[in-house]
Amino acid sequence: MAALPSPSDRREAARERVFTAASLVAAVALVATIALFLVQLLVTSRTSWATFGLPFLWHSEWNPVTEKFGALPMIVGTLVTGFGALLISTPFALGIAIFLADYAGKKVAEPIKYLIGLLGGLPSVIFGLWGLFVLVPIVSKFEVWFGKLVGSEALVASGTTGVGLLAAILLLAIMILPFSASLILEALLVVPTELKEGALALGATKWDTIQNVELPYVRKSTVGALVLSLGRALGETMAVTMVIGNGMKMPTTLFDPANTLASAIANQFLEATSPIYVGSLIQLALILFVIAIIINVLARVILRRGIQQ
Amino acid sequence: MTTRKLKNGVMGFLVAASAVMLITVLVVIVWHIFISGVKYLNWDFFTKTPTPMGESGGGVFNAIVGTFLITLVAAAIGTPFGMFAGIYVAEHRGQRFADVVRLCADALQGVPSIVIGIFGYTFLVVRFRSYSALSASVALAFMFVPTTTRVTEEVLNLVPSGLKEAAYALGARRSSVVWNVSIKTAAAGITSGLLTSMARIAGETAPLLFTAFGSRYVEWNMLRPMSALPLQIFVNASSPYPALQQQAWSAAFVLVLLILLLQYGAKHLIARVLRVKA
Amino acid sequence: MEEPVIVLETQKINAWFGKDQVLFDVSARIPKNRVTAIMGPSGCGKTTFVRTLNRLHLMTPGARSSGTVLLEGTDTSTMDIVDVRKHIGMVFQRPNPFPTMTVYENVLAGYRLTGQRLSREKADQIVEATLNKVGLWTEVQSKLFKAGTSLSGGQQQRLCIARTIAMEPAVVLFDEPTSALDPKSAAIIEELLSDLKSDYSIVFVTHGLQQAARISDYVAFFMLGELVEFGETKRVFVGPQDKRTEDYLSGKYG
Repeated sequence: MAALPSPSDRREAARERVFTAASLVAAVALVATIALFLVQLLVTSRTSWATFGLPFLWHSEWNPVTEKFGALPMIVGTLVTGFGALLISTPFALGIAIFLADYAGKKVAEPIKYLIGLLGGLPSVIFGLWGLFVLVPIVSKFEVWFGKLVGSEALVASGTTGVGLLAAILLLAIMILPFSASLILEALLVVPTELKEGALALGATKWDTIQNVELPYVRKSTVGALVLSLGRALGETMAVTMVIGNGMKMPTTLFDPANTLASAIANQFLEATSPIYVGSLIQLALILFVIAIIINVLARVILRRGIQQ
Repeated sequence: MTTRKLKNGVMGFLVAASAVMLITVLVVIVWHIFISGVKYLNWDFFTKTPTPMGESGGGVFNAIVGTFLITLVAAAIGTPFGMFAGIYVAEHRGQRFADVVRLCADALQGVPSIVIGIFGYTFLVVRFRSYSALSASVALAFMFVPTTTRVTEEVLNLVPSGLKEAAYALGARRSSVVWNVSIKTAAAGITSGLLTSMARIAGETAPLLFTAFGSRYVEWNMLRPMSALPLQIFVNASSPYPALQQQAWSAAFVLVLLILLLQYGAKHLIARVLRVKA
Repeated sequence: MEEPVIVLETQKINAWFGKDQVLFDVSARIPKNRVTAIMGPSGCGKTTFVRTLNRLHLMTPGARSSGTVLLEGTDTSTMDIVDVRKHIGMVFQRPNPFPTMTVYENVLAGYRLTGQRLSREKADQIVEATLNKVGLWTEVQSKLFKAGTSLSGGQQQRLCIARTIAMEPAVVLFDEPTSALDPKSAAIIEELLSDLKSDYSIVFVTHGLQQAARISDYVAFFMLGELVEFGETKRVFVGPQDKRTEDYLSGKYG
């Protein structure tokens, strides 16, 4: 009964070994990549942290001329644009998700979903292009008008270019909107119809149902979606780079040009000459890397728990 | 009773209003890109290379070639890694290491594109002392792998267990079951995922800034610096010449067309092919 | 009464899902070229037992088993698992032809999946012969190159049977082969099971007494994981030796 392995048996056994090895190698490579990134970033930025140490994180001077570098202006820029964009876009994301889930008929919902998908897939640099030539002039007009309104010379001055934190926040808000809206919509569509019908049968209005049944049901997923969107916003590079103005100094108002961790690198890396300048920029990348990983993992954990409900 | 009805009406209105506002903005953006982009399009644009700074005319043929090459090579590098990692995670579902792999894929997906670019620079460009399209493809492959892994895993999990059991009962080894049954059954979903990932990396700029670097000439050699549409858009937009800025719009239009082609056109083609085969 | 030749023998099979034991010391001797029915109330372990025969049971996470399975005298644990399944085939409750393969390719799926190459003539031969054996040849001759899933439910199940016997196994296991089919298709399959015994040894799980009585030569009665009684169908149904068997036959259990 136990026959000698035929040629095809041997072939299959060999194929099995190769296949199993390949999938293991790929899996390990994936894990190793994260470690590799961390190590590489640490090593190549050592000219910076060896010189500045931990205080790099809270020094507010970023001066390529005197070669004194501190990450605070960029960290502030990143946080302000990220949270600002989230703040502005969330109500709209919720609004549109609720609209598509509960109000819109199929004929209306399909093209809108298509449009959202289209915009979600638009490359960052194209948003940056639109932002630079369309949004920034509008923002500039607003900023100059506002500065004159409150009688501030400084605001008018920084408003004339239009580039700066405000432009970046608005552009980012538009960019993360399709992303968060579709995630929230996905979550809302999972709400069982029986629950909604049960509430309506008790005499609740449509909005009552939304507020008291649907939204609580998707709370974890929504939070997860928002955290993911924040992560997206924090890591956004090209669009922000093109409208934020490459400010070296700590911004004082929303109209000021500024930099995020990402835009500083994009704007300055190719011109950085000295090792310490390059190292400092790479250290910004390291900080960004760590922040992004933490937020992304956090978001996925929340989302997974939300789905398991 | 009336306050609730009022609230219902008001909230309904707000929701609709936010939707309308949003849609208006989205439509405006898409329309603007379309209009501005089409203005400059002509045959030259697709076939010529850039003219000296400030002069009008010329095109982005070098960027189109670059985008094609860099994207295809990135996908070629990333697909086997992504698929095999996805296969691993699907086959070892529930095991601790598989969870770690999935977590790392998620983490890698969240790494900002500029960080990927910096890594590509320090890891490859510095080592080989030259900007190259290949280093750009490797950088993009890092972005391609996580989504491929996730799609492969998800689609494999959808394959009915009855099919897999039948295959095992016939004496197939695990690798044969995975390849001949699971992957084949899931082929449409996987291909669709691959194309979507390709569309995404085709539009990335940051990873290319310090790796491919850009070039004024049509380049076919992956070991040399190369142009690409997103790079060209960025450079042109940042320049002070209106003619170049206009070209940025047109290049943007071409890029969007390319992405749409990948995402929707190719998907329909693949679906048609696979259905014919069955 | 001559002693039947034994093709498959189990010695003290025990099986667990995690901590739950589902089979207790099952020792059975399956006769060659006969139809053996495995019957018993729901949850008695019949499917689990059959799945230990071709080692499919162990594929469930957390599943364990002990005991010996002898295939024509050889201990299957000493054989490569792939060989075991080449000699012991299985047909499942739900017809599951491979959707990405044509009818033709489905019949030959076992060869393809185990990397065995066939010449075009040999392949054609096997397809025609096997489809004939299951009575499908005339019905699907014109549809050979359509997807396996384009056939009706009953035809799909016969296709799965064809796929299994194309590998020329010694034993074919059936896990409730007719429960997912309409009565007409079920009747066709039942007739087929009897026809097949001339070339193969048939073991089939059934949840219906009548089906066992109708078509089997031997019957094994399981209850709560134990093999309660085993013997020639006529003998067991007319004069059961165990009270539990008697109760089951008279309809006391579901």
